[in-house]
Amino acid sequence: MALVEAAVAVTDQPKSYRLAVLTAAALALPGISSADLLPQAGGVESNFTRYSESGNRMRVDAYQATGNLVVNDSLSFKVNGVKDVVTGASPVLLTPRISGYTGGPSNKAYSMIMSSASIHDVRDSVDLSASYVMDKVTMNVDVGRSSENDYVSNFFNVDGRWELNGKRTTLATGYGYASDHVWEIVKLADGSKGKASGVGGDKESHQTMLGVTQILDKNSLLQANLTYNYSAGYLSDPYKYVYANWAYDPQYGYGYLRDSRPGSRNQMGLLLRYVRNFSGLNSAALHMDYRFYADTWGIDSHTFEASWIQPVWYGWQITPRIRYYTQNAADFYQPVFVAQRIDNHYSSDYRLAGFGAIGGGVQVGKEFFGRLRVSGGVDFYKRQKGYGLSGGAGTSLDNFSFSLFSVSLNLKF
Amino acid sequence: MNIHALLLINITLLMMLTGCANKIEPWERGNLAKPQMALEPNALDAAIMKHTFSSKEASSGGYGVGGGGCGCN
Repeated sequence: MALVEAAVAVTDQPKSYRLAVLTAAALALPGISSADLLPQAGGVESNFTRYSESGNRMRVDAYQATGNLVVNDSLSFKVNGVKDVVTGASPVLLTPRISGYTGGPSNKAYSMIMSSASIHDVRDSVDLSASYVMDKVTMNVDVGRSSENDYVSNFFNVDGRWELNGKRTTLATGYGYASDHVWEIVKLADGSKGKASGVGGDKESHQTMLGVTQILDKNSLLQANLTYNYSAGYLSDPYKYVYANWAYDPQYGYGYLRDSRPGSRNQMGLLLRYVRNFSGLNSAALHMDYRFYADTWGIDSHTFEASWIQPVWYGWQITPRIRYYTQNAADFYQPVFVAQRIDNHYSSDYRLAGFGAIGGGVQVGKEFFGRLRVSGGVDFYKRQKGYGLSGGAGTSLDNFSFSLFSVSLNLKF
Repeated sequence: MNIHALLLINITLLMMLTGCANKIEPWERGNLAKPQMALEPNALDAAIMKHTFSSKEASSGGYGVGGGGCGCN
């Protein structure tokens, strides 16, 4: 829209002047100088998303809002807030099949012990960021805090982008630090809920990123990002247990242990993103992402995503998308344990099992007056042990699916 | 695959990318400037999708630095 307006405004000017203005307008267009940045425009965005898991497990209502304030051509601020309201039940552990057990699902081999359905948690997160543009360099600083009734995280991030090669190439680098504290909420002797003693702890994480975004031609661009994350401290889940037939736990008794994971974790990710414009199809855009991930817990994963953004008419836009994910199991994951491990690390957390997942959805949006955008969408996700291509331990009892319904509003000033 | 191998892949990709691109004048970049061509056309939607996936899967990262909090029941 900005390019059209600029072109109309300079039609009656001399050719050299028109060229200069068009060049300036093109350089100022969002997505050109910083293809991976949000447009440098003031405005507000809000989003509501409902997450619903199969089997009446978890439900999360997520409220997000963002405000962008552009001070001048160089300086802008953004404030972002999130509130998640979490209700429902969550898997605690797997045991060898308990005949007649009705507290959770069972298959031929295992039974699943669920938490009580009374989980009620609220996550509040707020972060404030500042962005400063200096000709070919853009710097961002972001600080924030996220808190739940059993988790608190304080974090800051700094990242920079450097445009070179006639602004056809953008190099990016970043560093993020988070200091977290996690604990367990239990029902106390007087019936109230409170913090369990001796469970949980602190953790720190350091994230680094190196990336390049390259304009390939006038219709396509490619991005490659490498991220490395080092975490240390309490990395277990205070609500998860494992079945271990030799063990004793004060809460669950004989045959059970608390989830116990290594005290450090190195995570690496390589992301490749390709975006292409199709002028003959009303400027539709194809987005294709692939991510390879590996960590020192023995997990490798592959993620494939694709979306097709199709402008239709009168500001309407429809976006179908699909996703496939596969991971193998962590070294210390088993559905149940029948022998002690030398490292004393045990987990039956379904997120550390070997599995695959397919997902997809569609978003529909409409723009009004060039400033207001309203959109809604639905997405589905199905996780199955049998969908995984990466192997590793796991069980079909952990299969589940979820749906996401969202509405969002974006107003630019 | 260790981090050195990934770093080597990234540097190789960088050299390939910067070497193969044609010269594109600023006035030829109108298509690239369309909102649907942004790497994250809908930032809030992308944020909640990434948070959801990282809460239900073992993987995270690749997209940049940032975040905080768990929400991982």
